[in-house]
Amino acid sequence: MKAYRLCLAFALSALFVSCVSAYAEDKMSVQIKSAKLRADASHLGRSLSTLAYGDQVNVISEDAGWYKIKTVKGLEGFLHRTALTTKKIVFRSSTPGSVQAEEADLLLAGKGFNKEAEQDIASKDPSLNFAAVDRLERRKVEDNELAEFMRAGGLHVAPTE
Amino acid sequence: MWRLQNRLLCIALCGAVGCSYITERNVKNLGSRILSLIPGYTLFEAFEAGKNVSNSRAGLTEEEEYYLGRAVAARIMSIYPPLEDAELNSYLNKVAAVAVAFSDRPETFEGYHVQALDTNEVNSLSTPGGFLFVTRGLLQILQDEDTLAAVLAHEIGHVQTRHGMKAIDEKNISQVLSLAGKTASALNCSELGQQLALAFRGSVDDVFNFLEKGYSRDQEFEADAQAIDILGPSGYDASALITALEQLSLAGANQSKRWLSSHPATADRIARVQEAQKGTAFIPSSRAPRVERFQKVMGQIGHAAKTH
Repeated sequence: MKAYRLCLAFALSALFVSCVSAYAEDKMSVQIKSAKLRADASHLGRSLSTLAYGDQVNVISEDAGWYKIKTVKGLEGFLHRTALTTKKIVFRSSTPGSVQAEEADLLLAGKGFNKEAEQDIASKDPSLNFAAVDRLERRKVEDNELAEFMRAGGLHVAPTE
Repeated sequence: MWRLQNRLLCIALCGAVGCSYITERNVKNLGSRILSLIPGYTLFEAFEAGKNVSNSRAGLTEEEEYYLGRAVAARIMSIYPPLEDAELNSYLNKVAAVAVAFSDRPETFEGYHVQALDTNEVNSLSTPGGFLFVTRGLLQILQDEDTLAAVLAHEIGHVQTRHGMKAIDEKNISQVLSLAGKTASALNCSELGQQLALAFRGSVDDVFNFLEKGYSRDQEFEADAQAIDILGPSGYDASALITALEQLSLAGANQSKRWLSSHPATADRIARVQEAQKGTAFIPSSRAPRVERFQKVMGQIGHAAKTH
């Protein structure tokens, strides 16, 4: 009898700890430059807001590669799992809202694969065509353009089997 | 009876505890915490044990992959000049955006971008981070929008499986990781920056040389499979991938060998695509609405092109 009570107390405690722990683990960060918060779990869903690199969100649920999340401002919507990471994003000190850190630590945070490394490689090899890369990056397909393109082309706005 | 109830309650609660805690993300997080306690396993690597970066090469983040991809893209466009045709590039980006919306990796750090290259050579390329390229020579032999979508979906397949990232030599990665294990006091910042820049340049060389040499057959099969998974639900005809492979194969006989080896349109590859398509239940939409716009855009390619 005593053993069962002990076991019951242990299980209840463990359940409480796991719930608290699971809640703490549900924080994730945006790992891309900007992420559109969607009204539906689809890239063709209505855009509610745009989240910035490093923004933290609370995960409410997960289904088929999409997280239902809540922003710090209380807005709920969907983000694809590839837009989020469990890792903490460390910013450079020049970035607004950044975390201060030692200079060497900041270099390591980017592992050298960053804007400074790009400037270094560009200075050593001026033939590298970064201007063309900048131009191609400026081409964006807006949501309404994509929707119209798909509609006109008779494509599916959602998977159809 | 009372004992049995307690026993069942204990079992149920223990089960609930186990189930609530053992989610994939929690396991990975727990793993990263344990690893972070190991001397030499730095915080950065510990972070990378999280779910969404677990398949990155050596724990590089989306941002780091993006900068690597940018540099490789800059090198590609230093050899093959971009074809500056606004309508064509806009069209290519729209077709790619459709495919991206149905891919398993729709988000990269700065998104996916497509650029036409002004060369007669027949090929398509992709770099880490989502920079896609199609040559004028390839565009001129493609049959319609669905075959173009198949080519782009194949390249997106390479990006989402991070094939390019896997080309980075261990020596560059180990250099970065060993540096990441040192503290600010162990190295001065200048030395650290120089060594990391060296690793970056080495990694760019690795990926670029790999693209020149070509993907492995297994990687091509994998990208083909990804393309079928993308095309089916989008409404594009997945069988267009076979047409594209046949057209590439035919064109290959008269083309430069540079980069073409990355697309050996073997009978094996086509057979595998045919086999994979048997398992798909998606019904493609009619190609008719897409034919006219494809022909309109492709018909104007020559106007902006300078032959290379």
